[in-house]
Amino acid sequence: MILWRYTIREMRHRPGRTTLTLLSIVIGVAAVVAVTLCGKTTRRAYQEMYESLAGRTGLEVVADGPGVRADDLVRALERLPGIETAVPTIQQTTTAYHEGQRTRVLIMGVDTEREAAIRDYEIQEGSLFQDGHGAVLESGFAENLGLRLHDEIKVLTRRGLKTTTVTGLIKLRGVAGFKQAGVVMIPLEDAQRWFLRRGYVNTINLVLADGASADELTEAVQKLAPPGALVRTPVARTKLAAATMASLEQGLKFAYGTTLALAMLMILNTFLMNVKERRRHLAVLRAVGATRGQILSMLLREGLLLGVVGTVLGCLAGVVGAAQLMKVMGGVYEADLPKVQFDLASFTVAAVLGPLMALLATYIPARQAGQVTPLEALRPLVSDDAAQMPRWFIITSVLSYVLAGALLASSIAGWLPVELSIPVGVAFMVATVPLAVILLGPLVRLTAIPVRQWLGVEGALACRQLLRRRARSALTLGVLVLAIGTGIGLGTTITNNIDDVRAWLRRTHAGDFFVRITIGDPSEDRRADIPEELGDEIRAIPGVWGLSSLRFVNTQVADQPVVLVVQGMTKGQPAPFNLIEGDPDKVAQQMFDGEAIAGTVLAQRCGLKVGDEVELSTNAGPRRVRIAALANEYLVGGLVLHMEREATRRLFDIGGVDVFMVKAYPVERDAVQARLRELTRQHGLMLYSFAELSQRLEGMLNGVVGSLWGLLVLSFIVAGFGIANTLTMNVLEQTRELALLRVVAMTRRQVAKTVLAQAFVIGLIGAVVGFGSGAVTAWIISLTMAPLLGYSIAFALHADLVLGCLVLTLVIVLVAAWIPARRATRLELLEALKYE
Amino acid sequence: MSLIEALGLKKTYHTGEVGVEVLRGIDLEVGQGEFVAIMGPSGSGKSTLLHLLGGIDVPSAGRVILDGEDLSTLGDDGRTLLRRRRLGFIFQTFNLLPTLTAEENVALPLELDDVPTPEARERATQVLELVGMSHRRDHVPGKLSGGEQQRVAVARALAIEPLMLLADEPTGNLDSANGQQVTALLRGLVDEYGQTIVMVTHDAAVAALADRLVQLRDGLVVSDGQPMAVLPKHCAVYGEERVG
Repeated sequence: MILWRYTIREMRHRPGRTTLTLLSIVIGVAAVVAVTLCGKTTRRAYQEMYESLAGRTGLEVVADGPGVRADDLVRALERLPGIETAVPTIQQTTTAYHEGQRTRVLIMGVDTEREAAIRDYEIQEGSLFQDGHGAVLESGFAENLGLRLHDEIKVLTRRGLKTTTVTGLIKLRGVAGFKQAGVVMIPLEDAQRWFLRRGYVNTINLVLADGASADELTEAVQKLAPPGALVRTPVARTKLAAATMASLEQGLKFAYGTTLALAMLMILNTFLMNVKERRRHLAVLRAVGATRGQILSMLLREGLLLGVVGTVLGCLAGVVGAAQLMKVMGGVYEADLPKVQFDLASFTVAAVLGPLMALLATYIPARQAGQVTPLEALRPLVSDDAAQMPRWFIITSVLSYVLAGALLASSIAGWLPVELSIPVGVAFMVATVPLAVILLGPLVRLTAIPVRQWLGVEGALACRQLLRRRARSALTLGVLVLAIGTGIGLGTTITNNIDDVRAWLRRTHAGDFFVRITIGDPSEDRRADIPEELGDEIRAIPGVWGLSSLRFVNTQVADQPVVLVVQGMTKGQPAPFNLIEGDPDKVAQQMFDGEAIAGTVLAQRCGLKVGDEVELSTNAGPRRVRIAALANEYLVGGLVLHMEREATRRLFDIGGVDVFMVKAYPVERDAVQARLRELTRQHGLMLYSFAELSQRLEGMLNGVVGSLWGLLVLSFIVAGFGIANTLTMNVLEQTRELALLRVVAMTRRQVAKTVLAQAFVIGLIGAVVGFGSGAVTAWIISLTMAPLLGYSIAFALHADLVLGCLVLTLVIVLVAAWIPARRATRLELLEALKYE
Repeated sequence: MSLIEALGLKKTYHTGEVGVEVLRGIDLEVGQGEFVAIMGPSGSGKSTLLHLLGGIDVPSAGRVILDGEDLSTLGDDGRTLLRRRRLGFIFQTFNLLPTLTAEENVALPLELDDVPTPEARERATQVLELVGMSHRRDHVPGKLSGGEQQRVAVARALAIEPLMLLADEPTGNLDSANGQQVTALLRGLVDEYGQTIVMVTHDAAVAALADRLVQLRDGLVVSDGQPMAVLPKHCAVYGEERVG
């Protein structure tokens, strides 16, 4: 009881110290909460980017012919754990008519109450339907057909021609616009009346819960589905999304791990200082009969109290911080970032983690405090930790570092499961902190050489102070190193990833314009061909200098659903692939000879190498094809085989065109576009420009980059607060010493300079060491990704990112040191000399 | 019969590679109700001897036997309980906890020993009255003068009804008036209550009030006897000091 009273009084007696200690927990918890929330948002932005390529549907139940009764099945499916929503739809290819024009369309009957779950568009004009009827078209498609809002459109149904009114125009998000342009959405009931029977549908789209496995759910869904219904992963949605997401996952897990470590270090550092400052009082308590256990439990109780209060405040700060940050980043990048998603799990984790972190961080100083001998109460001055480092500490630190390094090497070599790579990476980074304690002396002495030149005696004094409180300086350094390391590591990883997507887009989308079928995903079965003769018409347009074509054919390789992309190529032109393996000079000829290029994900999953042969199931029966090269592929999944058009016609009798890619001379581009527009209207086709495609993709990439920078800024803000906190605590601890310096004729300005110099030296060392550890981290993440992606994303350090992080570090450190420096200059000498 | 006995006490401190032998073999007995002053120049080992007698530190060699109990057989917790229940300490710098009131500081060792708060407070009030500080019992140390703080520290030491009081330069931080008051208080405790006191001091005048004066030099006892017999020699060797 008396100790509890003493604890409360102590907290009230030193509001500055208590606030700073509490603040360290608030910052720590806020960081963990904000990183969790921003991580979810970043994950969502990334997922949306890939979902717009592959659709949000994780599984689909397809029943051709009369279809399946929807109501009971939908309810049963939604009861399955792992399924978030089941959306019944009717998809039917048919013909639409408007003012004498005729075009093939995909009618999509949607359940207005449920379609939001798979919605991938925004309404530009009008509304979804009116009074339960109407039709909704993509605005570009409507423009091609000359359709406006409230116009009538006729649709060929099983009950003859039916007329409906255009009630809404939509803009499909992301790349979905390039896949689903020819869709006419109508209410489900209308679609049932026109094409099936009341209550029946031919497709049920299943949206899976986060983390649910499509593979594991397939069997359970199949059991519920009626006989004849097919349960499958949508063809366009392949494992690639999951695989590329894994790269981000690695990065986010790393950010989470390091933030946790950062928070722990910060709290540990503040508690160490807190306890060190009270060492004399604790010694008095020991002298008058407090046992080690009593001191330990007193401090742990204090840690728990601060932990609980800090957690509540930290959760609030984390939520507000994450929301604001994402808002700012969305504005900066003009990207539509997903809203920060709040869920109970994040807060439950924080609620447990906060007090636990505080307890763990208090344990070491509390244990140290328990070791305080009553003798210290009798000494005039409290000793510091400049004394010789214990040998056990040096040995343990070096051994931990070596062990973490060995585990890391094993992880890179593939001897450990890939899941362990991130915990091991974080452990390796954390192991640098005790090593920093050992190396702090040489590092500071080395930095002291230029610092003495620039900052004179104050710089020299600052270096001495840092070395005098070796453990505290090293922990502050540790906070910085982790923040910079995370910033550079995560930033480099995701920037490299995004550069990879951009490189793929430039390499593979070799055309200024794309002419394509109006309906459905080219990779899906429900589609219509483009008349092949159109190629000659396009080629004849003045200003067109190149034309190639694509045809998508569903096939299988070793029971693996694969899309065969038949590519019309021109002899003498380089093959438009982002090659990972294979001879770029020979690959075009090899394709003309009938060989194929495999996507890396397909190669990884089927264990394919250059030179292997695969068996394809085709209409003409099974055929064996040699793999000429491996290429990175993002669109239509990565489960892709590319073959040359003439070769496939010769070998498999596959013809037809789904997409024409047109190249035009720059000066003729507008004229070519105008002529192409006329042609596409005539034939009921869609026209897109490369600029539109890349603009849409850039928009999504900006979303990811914005979220990423949000995370980076967050880790720097946390580090900034951490440094400000520890430096303020540092100045509190040095109150008596600074007063002594003032007594022996140091001016206020010189005192401020000494404090700022301490921050500068720590910042400089932190920046250099953090840069090294960040670069190594990014490299390690890229290495550990290779087994998942099937290839290593090119590793490059980005000078702007590195320089930005380093400059930001020094600025943050100096700004953070400003308040403590100001406090130091305002010390009342006589009061400060009595400070204990 | 002796209350505390030191047998062949040695203490060596290690600073880096160098070992400093502070006590080089001390034998000392203190009887029940005796008031012993320990004097000696700086570095002679007097404070170290006090710490060893109080179980605050452990000897490198030799033994301390308190009321028949060998301190060397006790672990840290054992020595802590011994300090809590049987020994009272008075420090030069008072060492009161600044956030607790005078009464709470005095009750502290009792409450640490799980004595119920009301009982501990009542006892604290009694001893504060004994040292003439009951009117200031609700004040925190920062609001008390040096002399008052030291009297509260004496009260804290007395609260547990210790076998022995160990005082390390109790007047070292006080002006002469306050110093005399505290010394008189200690003398009174011995005379009226038979309290055993071992006190380290630099002040010959304070030492003169003790029953016995032990003089140390270079870690050894150089004289042990009545203050008036020892002090003239002491003054001759270490210079004039105020006596009486």
